[in-house]
Amino acid sequence: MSVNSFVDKNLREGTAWIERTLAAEAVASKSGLLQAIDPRAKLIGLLAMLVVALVTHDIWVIVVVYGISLALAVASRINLAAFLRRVWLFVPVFTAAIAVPALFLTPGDRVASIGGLAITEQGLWGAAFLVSRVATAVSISTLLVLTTKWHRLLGALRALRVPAFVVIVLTMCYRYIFVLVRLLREFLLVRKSRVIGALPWRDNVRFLARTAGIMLIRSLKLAEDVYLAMIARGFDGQIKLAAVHPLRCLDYGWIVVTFGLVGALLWKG
Amino acid sequence: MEGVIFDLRHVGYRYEGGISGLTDVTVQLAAGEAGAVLGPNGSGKTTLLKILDGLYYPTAGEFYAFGELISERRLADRAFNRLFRTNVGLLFQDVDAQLFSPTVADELAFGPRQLGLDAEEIRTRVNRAADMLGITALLGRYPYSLSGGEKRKVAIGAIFALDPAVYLLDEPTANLDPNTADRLIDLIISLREAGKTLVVATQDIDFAGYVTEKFLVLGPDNRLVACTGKDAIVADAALLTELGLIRRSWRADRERPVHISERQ
Ligand SMILES: Nc1ncnc2c1ncn2[C@@H]1O[C@H](COP(=O)(O)OP(=O)(O)OP(=O)(O)O)[C@@H](O)[C@H]1O
Ligand SMILES: [Mg+2]
Repeated sequence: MSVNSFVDKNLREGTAWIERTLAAEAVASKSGLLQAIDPRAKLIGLLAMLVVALVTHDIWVIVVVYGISLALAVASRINLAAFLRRVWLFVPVFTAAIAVPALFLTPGDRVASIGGLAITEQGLWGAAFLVSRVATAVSISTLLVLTTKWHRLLGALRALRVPAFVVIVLTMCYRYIFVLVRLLREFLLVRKSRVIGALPWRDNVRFLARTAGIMLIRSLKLAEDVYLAMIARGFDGQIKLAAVHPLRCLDYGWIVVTFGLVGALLWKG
Repeated sequence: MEGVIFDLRHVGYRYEGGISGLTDVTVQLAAGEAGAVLGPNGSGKTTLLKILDGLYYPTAGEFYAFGELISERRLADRAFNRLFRTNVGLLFQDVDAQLFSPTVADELAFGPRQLGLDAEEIRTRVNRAADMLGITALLGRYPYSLSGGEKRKVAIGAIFALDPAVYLLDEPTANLDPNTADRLIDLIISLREAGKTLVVATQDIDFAGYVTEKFLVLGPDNRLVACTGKDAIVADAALLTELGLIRRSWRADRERPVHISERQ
């Protein structure tokens, strides 16, 4: 594969991935366990699980939480293979940068050495903790994103007394990501239709740099217009969102179960 | 001056960096009147509509709306802001800017909700607007995934849901299929029958001729070149040709483009 098509392919897949992930409408509208739970309750329960995975000092607790997240994925009719792929594709990118150095740099008992660098037992455990924590955290957030329609999630944040301002910023970020991703995709298409044959690597880099610059300008212009469009329709700094429904038995049940589990894990761990 | 809604006196607007957006425009619009803003690209149509909507404030001259001098200070007043926003609605040329809500239904409801209408009334308005534009099937969709024309219909629907006394429409027919454009003409005519005031910026002279009777023509220097009845302007083929506002097939000399198969 040439360098050009490599860059192209990655950008194309990257943008498609963002669109797919953020627009997980298909999964969110299936009838599964998590889809049925009110976003507010779901947010609280999953957040509790996330906190346990992040604060515990027992790797088995992390493993159990991870197992629960897989079970929840199945109960929510998420394709398990796709779910695992989605999570584990992410994990190395986020952890490698931190986990690999830690492997070598943590002082302690030497287990093995590579090219004169010693791997210590403490370093190994540290890396294992980090990888499993990240995998669990990514799993839980993926569950939330996949099973909740974005606007209901925002509504939930608002209902949980997150300041309106934060919710608006999130809404607009979400909106921008789509506009920008689409813009980037169009840039790529334009370039493809105008460039014949392969460009030298340097020109590719230049193209990317220029694209980033143009996108920044476009997004600033868009930000101004979006703001004006809100003002034009009577927005005066206090956004008014749609009313929310009260929680039901299922939602309370979910909160009780997750908190019970989390409590038990914390107490044991 | 009874019945005058918009009164512009020598209004000019400069963007940052000194780029001229509009120069020395003096014009009035009465309640129930309809004006089309015509002019080549970059002549200041969008700038004029944003001034009329109280989004930009003139950098020269004065702009009066509903008998009051419009300024940032005046619009900062809650009560007046509410009055102004309830009465004036703007369709943005760049629909992507206008659509920021998570679903089409939320988009249509945004304006009415900001005005504090009750849930029942909001629902009625959303459904009515969706019905008018034929977008009922899109209500649950995410706006970003719509086609260009669908987005414009949603954006127009959002203004209809607001139901202001003054409709400012920036290129409403861009991207619309001929059928929908015709339907929009019918909708706008019914608005006019209901006594609404209308300003449309458009490149589509046919469309402008159907829904308005007053043509405001801006020149490439951002000045008002003409402001008269539409018949006078349509008759002035020389002006339209000079500004490049009509396609060849429209011109007085009827210099029709020659199809490639007819060429030697
Ligand atoms: N944000 C901006 N910053 C600087 N200059 C601008 C900005 N927006 C518009 N202009 C300039 O102001 C002038 C009038 O622009 P405007 O958008 O009002 O034209 P228009 O008649 O609506 O054109 P079009 O038919 O292309 O929509 C143009 O010369 C344009 O380059
Ligand atoms: Mg314009």
